[in-house]
Amino acid sequence: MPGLTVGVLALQGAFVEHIKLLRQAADELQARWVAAAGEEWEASQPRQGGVTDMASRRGGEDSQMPQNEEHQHEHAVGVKLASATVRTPGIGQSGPEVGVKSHPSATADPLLIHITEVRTPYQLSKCAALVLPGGESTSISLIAARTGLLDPLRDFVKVRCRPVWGTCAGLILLAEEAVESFEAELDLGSFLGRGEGSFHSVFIRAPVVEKVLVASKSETSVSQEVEILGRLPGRAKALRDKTVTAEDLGEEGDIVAVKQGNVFGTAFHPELTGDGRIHLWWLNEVVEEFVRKQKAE
Amino acid sequence: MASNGTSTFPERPSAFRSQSSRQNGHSDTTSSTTATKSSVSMSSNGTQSSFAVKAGLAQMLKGGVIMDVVNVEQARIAEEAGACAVMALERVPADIRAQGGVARMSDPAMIQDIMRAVTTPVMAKARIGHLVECQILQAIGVDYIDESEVLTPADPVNHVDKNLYNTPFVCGCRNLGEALRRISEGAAMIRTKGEAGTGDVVEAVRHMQTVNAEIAKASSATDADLRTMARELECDYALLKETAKLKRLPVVNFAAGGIATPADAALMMQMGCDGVFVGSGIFKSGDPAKRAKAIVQATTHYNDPKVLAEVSIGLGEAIVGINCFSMGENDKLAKRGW
Repeated sequence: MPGLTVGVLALQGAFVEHIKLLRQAADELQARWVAAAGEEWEASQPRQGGVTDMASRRGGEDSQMPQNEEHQHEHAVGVKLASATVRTPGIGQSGPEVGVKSHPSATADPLLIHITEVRTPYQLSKCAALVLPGGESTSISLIAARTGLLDPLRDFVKVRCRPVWGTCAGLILLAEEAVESFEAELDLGSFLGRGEGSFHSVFIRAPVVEKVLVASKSETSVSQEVEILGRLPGRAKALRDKTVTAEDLGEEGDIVAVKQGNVFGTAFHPELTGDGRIHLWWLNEVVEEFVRKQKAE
Repeated sequence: MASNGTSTFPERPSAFRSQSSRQNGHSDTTSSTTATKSSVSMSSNGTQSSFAVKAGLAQMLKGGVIMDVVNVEQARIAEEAGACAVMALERVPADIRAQGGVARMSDPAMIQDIMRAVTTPVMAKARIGHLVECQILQAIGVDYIDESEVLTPADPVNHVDKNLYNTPFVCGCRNLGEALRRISEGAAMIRTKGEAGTGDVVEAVRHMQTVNAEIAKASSATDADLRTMARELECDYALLKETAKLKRLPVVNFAAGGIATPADAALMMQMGCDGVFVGSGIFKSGDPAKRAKAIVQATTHYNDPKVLAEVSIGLGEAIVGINCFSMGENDKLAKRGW
């Protein structure tokens, strides 16, 4: 059974919250694959009216399946999934589905997602992807150095190019300036899917990316383009300091979510609001990347 | 009053100066900071920091060690050791005990020196109920205020209404009722009171145990029982219910008061604390720098006895300490506040 381990760096900071939301997201994804497998099966059947909810679909699987076709059916699902093209997730897609439609595993076996705390190089070596939680960045880097994690981390991100998500402290390396802590409604429709509405966000000593580094510092790969996934609009309006105008800040607002190749960064803390949508989106990206790589091998 | 405090001090250094100064270290040639933007700050428009933001700030300290420091040199040692914050005060609790007299808020100049010296957040203590000391600490821009029983209480009845401040507060507790009273007053972070300045962890263990047991009891209680419990604990019913549902305090909960060794820190973490305060335990010991690092490592790897053994080796003399059982009841700082 294929397994995917996603680690959360647990040296210092708000890692427990990330683990909780990632576990929820993993359950959600796995539930959807089960549902999607049912849908695939429905679709492969001769039309018999629209069965929509999962309960009746499952009922259909259990009771309606003709015995002589059972093996054929399982096989069909397996083949279908194996050949299914990996969809572009989320972006531009509507609805709360976050682009998860089909079982992305290369086999019919469910992909087991394991979420774990990372404190040692050995634990890191087991991970396919990593979350760098918010915390005191000075503490985190000092503890990482003392635990012998700095080089393995660098290797993980830059050489092995594994998916990494940095909240706040992780994003600080890209940041130009720190603003204060506040709450705001963000429109993250660009990657969570339109119609998702706003995302209530908590910013804690948030680094706001004012300018994205032009040259990639990556030593190995070709520099990859930086996608800007979220902006904080209207910060200029809130400013009392009238020397800064909206034009100075750019009409589009400050950058608060970015993606560059395998690295995803958010300036705010989605782990503090209990809203798991960003975790779901990211985990889905990780799974699809994982499946892509497995297929390539 | 306190809400106007911020506007009275428009040049209040950003409470988050730590990262504003830190970012300079990351600037390189490909990126330039626009000078006009450096003064940008969201909360300078006079609005109150929401509770979610203050509690969120405290969450960033989780899994970390907060160390008492009395001067810039100690603050640097603490930061170098990996402390997630420092507590700036003139006398560590052990000295306050030894010297006696009235213990008050520290000289703001001394706190500001420490704030300039380190990039980690800086906390400072105010006396229980002394709202003006809190206003002063907020005005000079400390990152967190500790309304602390270690100092001599200024109000015999009330604690400070912490909802009125933008700066997050940390407060001590001995039991769940006390913790929830502080949270309803606006505390964004809770710590056990323990028995500060003794180097004896027993009271911190007792307080953590009590809080844990009361949360466990609340979690299995019916609504009617919860109402009775809220009356008994003298706390807000809604908060108690939320705690019961979460099966933990709704804010970060640290251990404090008597932690002296890496093993003490790991013990408190294994009991379910979110992090630890070490007061007199570090700078009253033989080799503060080494002990500070060891306690930070022990707090991160609290579940790994091999690491704990490694970091416990050769730390030199620990704080001599006072056995809490041999102490007179009147000498206990934890009894201050209600």
